[in-house]
Amino acid sequence: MTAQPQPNHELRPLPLEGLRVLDATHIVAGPFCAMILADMGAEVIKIERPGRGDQARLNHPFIEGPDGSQVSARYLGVNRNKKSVSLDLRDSVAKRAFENMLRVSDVLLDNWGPGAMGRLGYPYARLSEINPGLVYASISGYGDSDGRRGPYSDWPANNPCVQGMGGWMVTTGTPESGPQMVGDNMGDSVPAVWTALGVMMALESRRKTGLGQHVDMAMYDCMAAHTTSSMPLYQTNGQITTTARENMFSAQLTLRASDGYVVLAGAGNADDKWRAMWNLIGRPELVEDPRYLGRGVSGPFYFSNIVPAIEEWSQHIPKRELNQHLLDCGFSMGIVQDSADLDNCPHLEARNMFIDSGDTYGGSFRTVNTPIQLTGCVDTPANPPPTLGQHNHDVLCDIGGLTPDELAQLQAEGKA
Amino acid sequence: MSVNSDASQNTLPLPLRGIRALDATHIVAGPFCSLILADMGAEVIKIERPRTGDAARGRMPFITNSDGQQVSSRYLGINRNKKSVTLDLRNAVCKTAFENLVANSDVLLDNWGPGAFRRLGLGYDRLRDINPRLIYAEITGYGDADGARGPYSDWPANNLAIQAMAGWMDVTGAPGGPPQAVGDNIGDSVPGVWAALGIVLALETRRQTGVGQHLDVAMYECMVSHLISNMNAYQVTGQAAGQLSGRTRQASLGPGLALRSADGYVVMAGVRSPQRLAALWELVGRSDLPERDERYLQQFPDADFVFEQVIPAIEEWSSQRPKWEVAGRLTELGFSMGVAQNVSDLADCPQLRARGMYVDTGDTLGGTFRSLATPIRLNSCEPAGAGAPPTLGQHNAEILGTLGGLTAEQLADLEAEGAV
Repeated sequence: MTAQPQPNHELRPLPLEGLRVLDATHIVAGPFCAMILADMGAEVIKIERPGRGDQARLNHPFIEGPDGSQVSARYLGVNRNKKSVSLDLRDSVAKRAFENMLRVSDVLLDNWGPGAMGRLGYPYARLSEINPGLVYASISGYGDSDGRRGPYSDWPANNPCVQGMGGWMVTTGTPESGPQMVGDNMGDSVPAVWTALGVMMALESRRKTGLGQHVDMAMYDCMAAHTTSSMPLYQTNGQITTTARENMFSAQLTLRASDGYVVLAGAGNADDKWRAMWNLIGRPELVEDPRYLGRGVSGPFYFSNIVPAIEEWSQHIPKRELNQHLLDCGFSMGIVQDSADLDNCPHLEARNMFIDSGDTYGGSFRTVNTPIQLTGCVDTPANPPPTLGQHNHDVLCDIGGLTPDELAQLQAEGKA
Repeated sequence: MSVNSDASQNTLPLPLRGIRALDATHIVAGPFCSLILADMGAEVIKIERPRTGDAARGRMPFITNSDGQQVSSRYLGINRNKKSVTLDLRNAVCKTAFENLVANSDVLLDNWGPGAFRRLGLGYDRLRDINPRLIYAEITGYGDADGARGPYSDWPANNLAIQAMAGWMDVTGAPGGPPQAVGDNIGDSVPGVWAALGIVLALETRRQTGVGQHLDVAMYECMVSHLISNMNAYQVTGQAAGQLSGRTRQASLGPGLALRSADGYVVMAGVRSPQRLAALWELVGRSDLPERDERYLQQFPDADFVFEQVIPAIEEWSSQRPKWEVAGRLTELGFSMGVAQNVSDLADCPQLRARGMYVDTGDTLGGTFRSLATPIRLNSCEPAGAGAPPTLGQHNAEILGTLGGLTAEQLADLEAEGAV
């Protein structure tokens, strides 16, 4: 995925080569975090429940294999470059294998909910007894440390909950529509990136001290940390950013094209840009009115005068052409792209941002690459997401210390 | 700033102690990234233009003290724990000082736009000559590595453009209405986190190999990588679901929906069983509904039924009650609830306080200023600092006179010329 090799420099191995991560997570937040680590070279071993495995394996839509079996596209999208073992951690033999694996691993990731590992007999105190160098990162909705409990610590949480709680929804949408959520798993995937960063920080700390630690990630904390405009505004004058368009800080406009929308930004102190635009669309008379150059006007004037005047022209022009016209005028522009636009995006293609990691049936499956372009390192690998328990034998008998007989027994009992 | 759960445990130094980062960035994406590094223990030195400095210093709203001095609260929010020096990099002496700083630093962070440093004669080739161990992290809208250019490489970019381009806006908003952006700088701050992660990974590679590298962070790519549900579904269905996807997702009771209360909205998710829905109908006094129509107990009824029947029936009850009561009552039934909180809720949230998520850094004018902590809880490390955001050029003498290699006279001359 990285850029072309630089002529004078040999490409180096990926940064996390040699690092072993036990990934006891499911759905999105944990698996996305673990995939970032896997893409960066770590050996990531999914620990899944026997039978069903990661809940995401059951989420639609599905791809059908040649024999009629199915694999979830959502699972495929966030699980490349990993191994899978299945273990029932309530079973004593399975526990022994898990503990053996902990001893020879660097990181344990968990998003089974506050206290879940504790109820299995693995609170952090026990984990650090087994391996003092272990970095234990837990992802929960509202945090999971005894010293940092608050009123929501036991609330269940998922994507919409933390988009709402974290202050994102209330700033999104129109006054008529009520608050809206971003229609994807941002409440999971954003905390996942923070967690990958937290893991790296704890590894850095371990390098200096030899000691691991508990990295206690709360999805709510992570989402709230992104209120970088609305929170300082409130701290200053108590103003609450809501869905009202007039609350936008500078002129930022969504404009209708014949086949979609474009967004226009960078319109403050931009007389030349406005002039170029009004001339382009055949309304040169408007430049005589300084309000049409964005001077001394606020939201309502934009929305009731400027936008309609532009849209009279723009609604007849395709979004890409419209975008180019306004770029030429000097504005910062963007096209409101959908999944099809993105999948066919020549720029993402040029940047090596798509990776074909396979659908586990021998077919292809295209996923979006980890967007960390380390230009001095080799490309990220493109191994297919594992089938459930695909690596039971390799991992459980090798680093888990089980005999083949013990494994066969566990599998017969449905505990692996 | 963080709350110490067990003081004796929190003894390890912060992880990036000893790392020096030159922060030649402005506005949000770069400063948010370097804030994370600073909170994690790095020495972060802002390199700013003389007089105006980081453009965020000029952004409303401003805090004014009794002497009439002003400081931008957007600046205050994301620049704690940093130092500031001013340099005009077109000036030869300043450039020399900058090169000396580069020679003595681990990281250079830049978001002045594609090619801006190259035009100053400080492209990565040159930076690498000065310091082969340097990690040069460049945050741009669409990327800036020589070998990986695409059609948008020279487009200007900002928060809104990036939210649009990366597909976030298309899946957000009410069906039939225009696409919506999240009303905060998400298109900047999310790439800021990715950039911090990239830097730490490049430090890891440097430890193994002894050499730095160019880290090429494109905001567009960072944001696209979050389209997990839509992009992966598209690979199967070939349908760009757009706002319909948003509606379906909010309509199907599984993923969650938004409900009106007397004083705002709550979100409800976690419909795992008919029993839980039956308890809901009992709570709102409408046990008659599931007796009449079994769809009232289904986890995935069709969207029209949800919008036209289910939501209005719940809202008859919820719209009469405050949001916290609605969330509390439904949490008791086992639903995953959230309140669509606004910043006043967030600015005084008991949970965030318990988690040590508030930092008071001061406003540099003698007043207090609360900002949100970096949400990485390293339970065994000392708490992150709460140093006030620097005034412009506050550390000129301390840093340019030592690491920058300038004499006191040179510095005085530059000051007189307005080049620092």
